[in-house]
Amino acid sequence: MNGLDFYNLFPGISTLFSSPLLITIGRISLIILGGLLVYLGKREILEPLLMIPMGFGMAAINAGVLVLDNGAYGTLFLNPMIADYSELMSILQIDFLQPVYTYTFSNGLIACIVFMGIGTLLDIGFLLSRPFASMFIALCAELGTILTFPIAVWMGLTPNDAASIAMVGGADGPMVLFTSLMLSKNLFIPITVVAYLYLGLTYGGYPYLIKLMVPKELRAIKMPPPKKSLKITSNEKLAFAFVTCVVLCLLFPVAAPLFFSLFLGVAIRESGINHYISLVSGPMLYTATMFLGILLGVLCEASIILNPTVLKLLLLGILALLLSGIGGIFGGYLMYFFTKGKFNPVIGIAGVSCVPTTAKVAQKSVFKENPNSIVMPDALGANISGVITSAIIAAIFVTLLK
Amino acid sequence: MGNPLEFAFIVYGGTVIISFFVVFVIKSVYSIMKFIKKN
Repeated sequence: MNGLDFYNLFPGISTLFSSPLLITIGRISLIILGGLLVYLGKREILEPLLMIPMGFGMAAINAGVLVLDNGAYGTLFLNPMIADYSELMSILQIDFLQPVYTYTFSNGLIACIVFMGIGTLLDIGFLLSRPFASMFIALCAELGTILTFPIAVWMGLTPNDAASIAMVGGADGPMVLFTSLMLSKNLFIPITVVAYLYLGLTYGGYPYLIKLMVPKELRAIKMPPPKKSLKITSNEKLAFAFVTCVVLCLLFPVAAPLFFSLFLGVAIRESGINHYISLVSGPMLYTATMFLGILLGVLCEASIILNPTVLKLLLLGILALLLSGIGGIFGGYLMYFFTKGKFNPVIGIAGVSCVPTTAKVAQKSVFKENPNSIVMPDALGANISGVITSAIIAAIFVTLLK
Repeated sequence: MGNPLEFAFIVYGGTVIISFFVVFVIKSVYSIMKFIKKN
């Protein structure tokens, strides 16, 4: 009873004030940031599916720090820094999120499940009807990924870390998670958190970039209907998914889990097995997204996330997304000139593969200027091509740098 | 890895080649399916 004082009763508060000043400020800032993410998620300014669990996790992990049996400060959520096997076995029985982290997050399973879910939402008919134009725009929209890599190396990051943060330019969350898990084990937490935070901003930020780069009269261009109406059957889509999956797995075995997951999702959609479609696009996708949000939040503990490199990552992440957006619109302009003014350059933004956000952004921007202009099918084609080109770049980076 | 800019362009060059190879696969699959349908 002698040791029963205020600090023993409330270890969360005692650890807050007995930590180094930087950690204390970091914990308080992250609790506030968590609250802000929940608010922005609720207002739908950022993606609520991810931001609400992430914000809660971020606030709770930084509030719930206590003194562990060995005298160190820690939490009862999870410990991502465990390297020793026997220690991991004991932590698995104590920290309630450790099993989810160890068995689904650190091996990339959760990224693959999200990718499979995305696959079931993709109608590759949009890509198959205009494959050259879609792929060309998607390649232009990889400008951020390509240019951020050398900039990151010049800023002092290792090639592996540089490749991981450069992947933010592809604007594909699971892809960034997969690449950083493969290439930069020591920085994958801040890189993934930065990526998901910024991806939420594409919906709010890209419309301004479009307004800045594309004049009103060009935004209002109405796309002509395709010369011959191509009716792509589900058999053709299934055959495409199968052949492309096998070819890409043959070329890049290191990224085979990613290709397999994406194209299996597409195959499930086209096979018409309704039980599988509703399972993968519903419970599996939403469960994975929720746990991904929770884990990203609880990984933001001040002592883990406060790293001098984080500031660089924040700068490089926003640069990568900005350059990719500029590259995409530039691709849209090139298509506009190639087709002698029959292509709406706004579609270029959809080459940034944040499915289907950037396609929606393109359609919304065009609709404001001309309610009769429908660019969604072409934008979705570019969007799906963006997923494929990002996966190819990730695979090349992993193959060459691992 | 030598010059990072050079390395980035090698990665990009590879991506362009493989992406258009995927387009070639798309076109081939489409043509084969069409041929099978006709015969």
